[in-house]
Amino acid sequence: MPIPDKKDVKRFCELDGWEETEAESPDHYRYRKRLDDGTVLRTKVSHGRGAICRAPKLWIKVCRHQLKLQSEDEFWEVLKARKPAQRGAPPQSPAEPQMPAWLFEALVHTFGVDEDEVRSLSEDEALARYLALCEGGETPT
Amino acid sequence: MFTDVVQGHRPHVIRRGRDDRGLLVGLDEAGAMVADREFAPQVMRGDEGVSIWLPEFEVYGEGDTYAEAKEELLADVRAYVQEYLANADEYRRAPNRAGHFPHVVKALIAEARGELERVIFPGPPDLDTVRARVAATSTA
Repeated sequence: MPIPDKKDVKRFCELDGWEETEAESPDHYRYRKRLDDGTVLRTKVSHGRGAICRAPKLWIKVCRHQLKLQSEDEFWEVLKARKPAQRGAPPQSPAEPQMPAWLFEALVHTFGVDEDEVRSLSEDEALARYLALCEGGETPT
Repeated sequence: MFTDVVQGHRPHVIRRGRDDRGLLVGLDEAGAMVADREFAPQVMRGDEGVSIWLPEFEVYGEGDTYAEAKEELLADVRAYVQEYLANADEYRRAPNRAGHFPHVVKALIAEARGELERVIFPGPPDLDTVRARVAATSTA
């Protein structure tokens, strides 16, 4: 499933009845929507062109948590049907590859591992690498 | 009274009229109340740049580098805390925001102390914890 463009998300917010808020952010448009049960949704769209976010897994987070959609398909359906989203049961996030920020920072800043290399590691791989470096079993790069 | 509250570490209940009650408490004591609330930002892997998701507030930052993503995330945290407090009556009752309140207080205190970055991005856990997790994944 492709990551939508920023213009797609702005269009989604229009069709789904979000309000644009006056935020103190010079780099982003910010939107908010209140659901009938009192839930307050909020999201942002950075200025310029291109994809709404860089990582596919982040798009899933935005879709499930910020837009409160059950699937990415529901996002595209709103654009296609030009009607607000039909939100049902609270969405469940699937397991997604990611790692704690402290682990990323420790590998890059403490041990000097290249950022691109760290991004390519799974959390388990990164943890094992971190432990090896801490215990002196591996020479920092 | 303020000196007693802050320097004497004695919270003070404030009453106004028949129903209004408040609690004046020092930053140290307020911080202790939310000490067990932690932030756990997650770095997302992508082909381009770095993305960091903060599950406690459901906000994110992105950038060409980790530092840029972190800076954007911290700006978003500051914006969210301001927004939350500006809409406190509504957000504290919103099903998806009510649980954020202790973390909002924690971030507010951290910002007042100039420690927001350290609180949002805590350092590594102790090595025994890491060893246990690596052992658990290698035997799974």
